[in-house]
Amino acid sequence: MGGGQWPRPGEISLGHHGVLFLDEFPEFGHTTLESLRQPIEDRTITVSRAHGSVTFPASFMMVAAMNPCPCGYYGDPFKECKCSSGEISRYHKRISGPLLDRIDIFVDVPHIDYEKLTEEKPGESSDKVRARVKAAHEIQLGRFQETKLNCNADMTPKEVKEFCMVEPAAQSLLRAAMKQLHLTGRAFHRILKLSRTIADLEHSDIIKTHHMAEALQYRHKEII
Amino acid sequence: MEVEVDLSPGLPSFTIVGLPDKAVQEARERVRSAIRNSYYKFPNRRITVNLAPADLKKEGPAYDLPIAIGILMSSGQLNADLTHSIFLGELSLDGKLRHTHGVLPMVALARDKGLSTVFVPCDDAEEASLIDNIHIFPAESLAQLVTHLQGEVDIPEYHSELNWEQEFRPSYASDLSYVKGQEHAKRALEIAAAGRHNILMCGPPGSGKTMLARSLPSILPLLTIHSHHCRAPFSLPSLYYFPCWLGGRGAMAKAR
Repeated sequence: MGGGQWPRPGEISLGHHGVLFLDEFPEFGHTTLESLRQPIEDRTITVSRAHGSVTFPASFMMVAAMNPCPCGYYGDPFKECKCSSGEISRYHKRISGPLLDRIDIFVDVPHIDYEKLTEEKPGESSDKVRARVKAAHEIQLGRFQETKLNCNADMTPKEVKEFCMVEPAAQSLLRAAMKQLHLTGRAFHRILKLSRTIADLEHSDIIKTHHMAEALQYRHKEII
Repeated sequence: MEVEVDLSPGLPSFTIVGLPDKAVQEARERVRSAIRNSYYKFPNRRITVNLAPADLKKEGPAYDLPIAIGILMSSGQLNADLTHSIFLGELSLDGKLRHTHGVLPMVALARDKGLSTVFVPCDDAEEASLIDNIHIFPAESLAQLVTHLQGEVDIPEYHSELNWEQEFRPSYASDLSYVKGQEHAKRALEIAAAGRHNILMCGPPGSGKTMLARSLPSILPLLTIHSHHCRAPFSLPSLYYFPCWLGGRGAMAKAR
């Protein structure tokens, strides 16, 4: 977070405009994780110490990785999980709801079998993916030219309203999802921002139903 | 930041005041040797150096050069009009100038304060040249700088050859194609990278979460001077105090 007698920038400020990767997410200290909440929203962090208080920029993209349970095999089709349900729920409780609410994309990375691992067919290279990401970035830069923003994740509700045009069918899908999944106001905005990015990747001006559906399926689902 | 030097009669001594830290205190020894070894006279008088404002803590060796210049001026060995100049740099004992951290933010501040000329160590000229509308003179040593200020030798002004737009190919530790399978996770990572959204990957040990995350830098577009400059004026490199940014860490800074 930054600190010291004279406030200095910490990891999240050094990750400004970059990536903050937190491996083994639940193993981080409770206070560390909870104090990420404010900088994720504000994109800055204020460090107050006896000698003074300094605001550092902290516009980072958070990438976290975790196991589904302490032994790591909960939900695995081949290996049995040895954890009790209490242990698993304790493990998940280490990451609080408000923090989870701030994460846009939840993705399962399952075990891969021998056939897949030894497959000769090479996967898509980073260069190709980067070209698509870059194109999407350029669309965003053009969109935010008049504002101080850099990317879709930086949008505030005001900009979400301005830039996220949703087609009617997608709107009704979002309405139904909001009701059924009891999503929060913040989740609502985050889903819109995420679907905006998915639409950008397809160079689409309005958010269509399949963009919205993909954004929705990345939301957090209770594991137990 | 201002460096004031005063020579007064009395027992020879050399004091630095204005909340200096250890590195600034040690400037006394470096400055003394550097002046002697550059064949100037170190005045045998009571020397007081004040780093203003006095209530702010001073850190690092960047004050060596201004202190040395101040001493040479107040002892009459250097006559020049330096009202619009700023000096930065660490001195070695033989009077050469060494690389100093934090040149970029200091030069940026100097320009905003309306100063027109900055003298920096040769190593830091490239870094300083990222700031426009200010004249940058790279100095090799104290002696060279003093002769330049007296008009005997001319140090050419530095013009950067650095081209931000040029093709730059960083080498990445990992490539997405190294990860077999996991197509939906790759897709999610691509979306996250495109809009800079937060992402949480969940899976059993050894399934490739860490490898996927390692490959993330390779799909992010390069940082541009635009994102440094226009949107967040130098906040990124200033944070890093620019540690040999244009050299060793080039890849990191441009490739996130």
